[in-house]
Amino acid sequence: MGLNESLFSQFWIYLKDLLQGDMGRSFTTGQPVTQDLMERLPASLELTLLGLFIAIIVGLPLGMLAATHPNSWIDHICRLLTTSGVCLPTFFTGLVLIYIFYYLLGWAPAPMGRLDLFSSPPQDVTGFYLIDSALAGEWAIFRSALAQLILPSITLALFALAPLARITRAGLLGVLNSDFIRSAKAAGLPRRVILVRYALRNSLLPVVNTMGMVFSYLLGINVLVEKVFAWPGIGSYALEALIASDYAPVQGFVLSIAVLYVLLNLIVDLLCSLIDPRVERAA
Amino acid sequence: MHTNLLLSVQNLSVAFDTRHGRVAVLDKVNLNLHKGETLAIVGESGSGKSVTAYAALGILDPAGKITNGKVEFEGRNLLELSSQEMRKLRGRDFAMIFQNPRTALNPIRKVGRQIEDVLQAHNPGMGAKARKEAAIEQLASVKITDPTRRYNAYPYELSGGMCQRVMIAIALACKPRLLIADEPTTGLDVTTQVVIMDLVHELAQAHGMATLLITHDLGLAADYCSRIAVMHAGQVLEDAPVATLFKGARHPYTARLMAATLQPGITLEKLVSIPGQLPDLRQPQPSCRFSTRCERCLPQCKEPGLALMPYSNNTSHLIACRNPL
Ligand SMILES: Nc1ncnc2c1ncn2[C@@H]1O[C@H](COP(=O)(O)OP(=O)(O)OP(=O)(O)O)[C@@H](O)[C@H]1O
Ligand SMILES: [Mg+2]
Repeated sequence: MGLNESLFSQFWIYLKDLLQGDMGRSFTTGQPVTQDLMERLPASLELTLLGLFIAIIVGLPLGMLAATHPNSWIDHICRLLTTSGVCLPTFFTGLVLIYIFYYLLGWAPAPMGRLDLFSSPPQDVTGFYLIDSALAGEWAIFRSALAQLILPSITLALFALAPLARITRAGLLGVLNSDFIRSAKAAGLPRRVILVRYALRNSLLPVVNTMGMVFSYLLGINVLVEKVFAWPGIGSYALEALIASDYAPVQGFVLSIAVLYVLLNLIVDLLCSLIDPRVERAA
Repeated sequence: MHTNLLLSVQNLSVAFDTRHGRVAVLDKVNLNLHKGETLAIVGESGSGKSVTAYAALGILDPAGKITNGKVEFEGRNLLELSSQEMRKLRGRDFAMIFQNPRTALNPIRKVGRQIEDVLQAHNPGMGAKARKEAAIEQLASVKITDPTRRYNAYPYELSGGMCQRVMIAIALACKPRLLIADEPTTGLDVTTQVVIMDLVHELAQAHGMATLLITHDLGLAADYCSRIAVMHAGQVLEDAPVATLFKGARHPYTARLMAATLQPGITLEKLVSIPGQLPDLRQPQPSCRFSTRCERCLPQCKEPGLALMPYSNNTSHLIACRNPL
């Protein structure tokens, strides 16, 4: 491993290995870190993406309704959710959800990973259990995977909801007060056209940027949520390695999160240029 | 004469609910506009010109309430129509263009598409191909060169004058009988101003369309309109044909406004500013809101009951003043 070499040559060895896709070996699992990460990454991504998806389908309409009905009850609900969403730490929300829905009500399955004890993973295609089980037509596995996903993804969604709803509301309110909305009204365009084609599309830019930001927060927050729900993703892997002073997995984790961030920003930029022709010009 | 009346605003009062309480922005505004006529509303910034237009079109801010009065378009009271009926009239029977054409257009939609949106809103049966052709034709009618290419342009790719042409194309797409132009040349350079005003004037003549020009420039109003209504702090103070007004303005405010306007024969030194500023409308106002700035103010000027009335039995020259010049 070259631990007796100078720091520079250690770093050099590390870089050379990295170029060949070798991130070292984990002391605790005894496997190459790259292989460990690749096995666990789909679990993390499936959870995070579902959390983001729930946050979007709830947060965007909520922010829209709040903006079009300022100071109504829906606006107050929006304000309450966005404030509490950022105030509560996610591991705490996760624990409260487990306490209520698993322990008290018994509606949710035990927070023990991606599947219940009696199911086996579906045939591996994408690594996302929901997609793989649906592809294989194994609906029992699909249900089990979904049931396991619900509480942790809601935990993440509650956190991601706050910034999304807030930015949607603020962005839409700003756009609704702008000059071109007034001219659209003066031209007699129907309300729905004004709201969707004129107002919403113009307020989407900050929303998409926030989505990117929220997703990268979620990747970080995952570490704790995965721990709480015993989720076999890269977050809990890194946390266990950290506790065991197993440095290679931690390095590998940080590096892969950084790569994900970069990819994410690229996607966000591409989306923005799709929405706004001016962005393309500036790039 | 009565059958010729297109737009009639009668005793229109508008108040805004603000953080500082209710602000009575318009006080019994009266305006009459006949078919094909060109009327200008002139007044200082904040005198309520835009609010009058918005109230008439039904696009007032939700905070603004119409507290009194009537707006009649061809004899129909617009204030009694549902918002759906009003929407159908806007853009088809009367349209509006604004200052700052760059921000008045949707920044991320092709200008041709924006014209199509209006056509679609008012002619639901029109096919996509016919609509596109009509939009291109509309761009050509406002003298935009190479309209087929410009159809695909975004507002940020066009100059301010070009954007205002597009606004005009949108406003006139459904051949309305009334065009309200709210300071259409503010924010454009002087040469473009003339070009745009000439274009509006020419199109209005060609379609027999009445124009309501909102401006703070008396000279511009005199050049393009046949009649001028002078507004101050939400009141119409004088309303007369251009020639009458320039020969013999009767309201002290109009006279001051003239003295503050550059005209041939008046040098810059002779230009006088109007003393004081618009009254604070959050406070209760005397019957004549100009009285606090007026040097001809009499004790009875503050008493209620001021109304716009013919000056010395001339029905085309209206004035709201108890001590006219
Ligand atoms: N949304 C609003 N809320 C509160 N007050 C308003 C609102 N809109 C306009 N006002 C008030 O109404 C008054 C008249 O405004 P308006 O925009 O009609 O003036 P204007 O004559 O068009 O001036 P300008 O030449 O600057 O366009 C102003 O005193 C303004 O403060
Ligand atoms: Mg104005």
